[in-house]
Amino acid sequence: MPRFLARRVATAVILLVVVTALTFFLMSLVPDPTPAILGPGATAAQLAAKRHELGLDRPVVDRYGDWLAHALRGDFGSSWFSGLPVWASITDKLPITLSLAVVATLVSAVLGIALGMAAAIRRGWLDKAVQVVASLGFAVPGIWLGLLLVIAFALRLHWFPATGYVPFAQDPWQWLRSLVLPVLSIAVGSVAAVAAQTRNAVASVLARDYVRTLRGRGLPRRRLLLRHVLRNSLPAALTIVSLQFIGLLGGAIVVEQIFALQGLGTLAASSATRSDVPVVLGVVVVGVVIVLAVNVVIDALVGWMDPRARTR
Amino acid sequence: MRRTRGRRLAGLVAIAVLGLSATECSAGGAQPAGTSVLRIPAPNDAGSWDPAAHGASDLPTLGFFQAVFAMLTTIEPDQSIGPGLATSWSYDAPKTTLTMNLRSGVSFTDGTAFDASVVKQNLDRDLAAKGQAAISLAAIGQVSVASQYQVVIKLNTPDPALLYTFGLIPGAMISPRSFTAAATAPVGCGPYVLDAGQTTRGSTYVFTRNPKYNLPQKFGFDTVQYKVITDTNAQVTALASHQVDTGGVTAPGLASVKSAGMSATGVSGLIVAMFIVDRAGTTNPALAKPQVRQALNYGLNATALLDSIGGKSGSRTTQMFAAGTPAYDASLNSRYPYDPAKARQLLAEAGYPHGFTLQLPSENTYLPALYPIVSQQLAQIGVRVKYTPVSADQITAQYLSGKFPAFMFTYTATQNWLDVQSLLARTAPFNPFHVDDPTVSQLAGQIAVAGADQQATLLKQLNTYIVDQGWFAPLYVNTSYLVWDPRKVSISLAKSQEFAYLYQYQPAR
Repeated sequence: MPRFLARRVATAVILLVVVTALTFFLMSLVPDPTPAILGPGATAAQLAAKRHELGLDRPVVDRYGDWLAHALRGDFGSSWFSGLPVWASITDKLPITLSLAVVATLVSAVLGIALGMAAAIRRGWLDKAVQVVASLGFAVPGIWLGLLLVIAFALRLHWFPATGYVPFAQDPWQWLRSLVLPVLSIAVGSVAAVAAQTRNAVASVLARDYVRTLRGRGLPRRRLLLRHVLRNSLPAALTIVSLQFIGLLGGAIVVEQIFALQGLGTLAASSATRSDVPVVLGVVVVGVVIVLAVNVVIDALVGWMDPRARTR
Repeated sequence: MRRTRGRRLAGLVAIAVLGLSATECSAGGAQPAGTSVLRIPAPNDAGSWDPAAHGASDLPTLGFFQAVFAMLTTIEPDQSIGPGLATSWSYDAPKTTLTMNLRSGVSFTDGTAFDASVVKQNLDRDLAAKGQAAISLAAIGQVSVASQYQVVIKLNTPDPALLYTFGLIPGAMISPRSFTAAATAPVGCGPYVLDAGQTTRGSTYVFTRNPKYNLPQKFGFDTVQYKVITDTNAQVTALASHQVDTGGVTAPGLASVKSAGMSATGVSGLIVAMFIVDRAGTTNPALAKPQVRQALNYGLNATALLDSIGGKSGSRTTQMFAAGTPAYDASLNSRYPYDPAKARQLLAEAGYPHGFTLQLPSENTYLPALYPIVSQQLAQIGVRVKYTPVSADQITAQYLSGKFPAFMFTYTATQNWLDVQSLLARTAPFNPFHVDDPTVSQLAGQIAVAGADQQATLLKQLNTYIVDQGWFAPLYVNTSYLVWDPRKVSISLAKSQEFAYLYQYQPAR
């Protein structure tokens, strides 16, 4: 297991360098951002001075080398527009997006696995109902659902806040309330995906010979399902849950806009739009680290549940 | 048994939902009883708290700064200049030396006393930082301390907007002891202090009264909360669900917030216009002729565009200055009625009886529906429009680069001299071909040194000249709406105001 994990971490580091280098070189192709930084009243001399200050008059390879050297020491620089430290901007926004993605993933995992298992075990009308609901879940756009939820539960019933986020440390109860509608609007598709994948995996395991044998030997139903069927079905479900988590991180921007959550998605979009390179790179690093960390954890879990996976 | 367990589970879910929904409390934490709280949506984050990083045109961020900092002057609702940290001022005859007398007995929240040395340190630092504030304060040559409460500011050129700029972010005074951490820790002598415990940076900013505040301007609320809501639809839902007490909406969102009991008043917003910038004919010789530019004005059916694109929420205008300001002349709005026949006649007189080809940029973010209608209308007078698509993040850079002879764009008119510097001067950003018109230069030179009454007359002359010469083809000025909860807030706006200053919000009686 340690060798397995070390291999995964080494791959992650190489990937991180490659992704940041690609982002840096791609961002160097966008037009000069200094007119937007200084505003339309800046003179040519002021623009040239700003370009020099930001190092934009130096070769891109040198600039990437500098950035990497600072980033390795934990210094991601400052925003070209606001002058605020990149890391501070990210740590302000990260809890919002992580709260959204983690809670939505938990909801998706619990509901999706429960529905998928129930459909595969019970079959009949429940199976059909889960499949129909899953199809609907795939089809419903999160943005549309979000707007409907706001109208119904915030504007008409006044049950939940229409916008805004309350930090967990400030008020856990209000934190949860502020997440209910955003989580519902992005979790529906994920619940559907996890339910469909779990249903197929459980159905496939239930049809295996060893399950029939265990059933024939009189193994209690609960033990059979939890110990043998679920454990052998879970790797497939966990993989889809991890993919959903990554998808939720990327797709959070739409929900962040609807519910005025100033998260990482909003920061990524605004900084990319105005070519705020240090912030874009900071967001990319954090995004890649989260994705890689999730993959490593899932790989480790799958490896723990299925020893064959460790050798792949 | 199974049914009982199902019921129990359903009961637990119901209790959880009811429990979550029962606690009706605003995001951002509870406020002490008996205090008045004003909750305002902010269209963008405060960003850096360093005034050196913000220019005079950064109006969306102004509210944050008005909460914690006091400015050298105060902009009154009618745009006249009132005292702030400076109590009085005077210019010399050539208007290149400004002497400002400062308020005594003022101190920053860190205990530092405010005096002339603080003003010098702030202005010198703003200029040295070479950020947006330095550009807004570019006329300043030297700042010197005449006495403890008097500064003398030498200008490189006269700047009739300098006192106005001093009422905006570049005029905000921060404690010199906070210079090194100015971006993240605001230390001012304004009406409020930032409550770091209640603030979630980037999302919600909470300000509570500054016990040391002793300027005469009164701020009505004990606590001010700015909630960052960048999306316009989210602002409407926040207003309609009373998560905020005031805010701005456009016509489509008005019914929703009014049905929630909000009061509203219309305010002038963006001017939608064709900017005819290649007036020297560098890339399109036709545009050098005033008749051609006038023909474009006659050939665009502004009223139809206002109805179809502007949602009938706005008014026709032919000028680039805000209504209610000295330069504005309502009679000019009848100068260019829609008249394609007149447009064709003017083109023929200019030597273009068969029209000409006009290269314009287009974008799909701000005015996407405008472009096909404009090309159809101009085709009626023989002007063949060819569009070049520009991506959203490059609009300003591309439009102001001198690549296009004209472009459709929006403009927010503010103070007349700032508009002159922004639109008309040889070095103006909206004059990318640096066209130097002797009449405009002469009038601008006179305005720079004129007294207030004479200045108003000259500004009107300048505006009339620009409209007659067809430098722009303005179509309409959008109306947006300032809305507020009348049970909590009282606001009174002057005619030319596009937004309310923080001191204008008072608790409802």
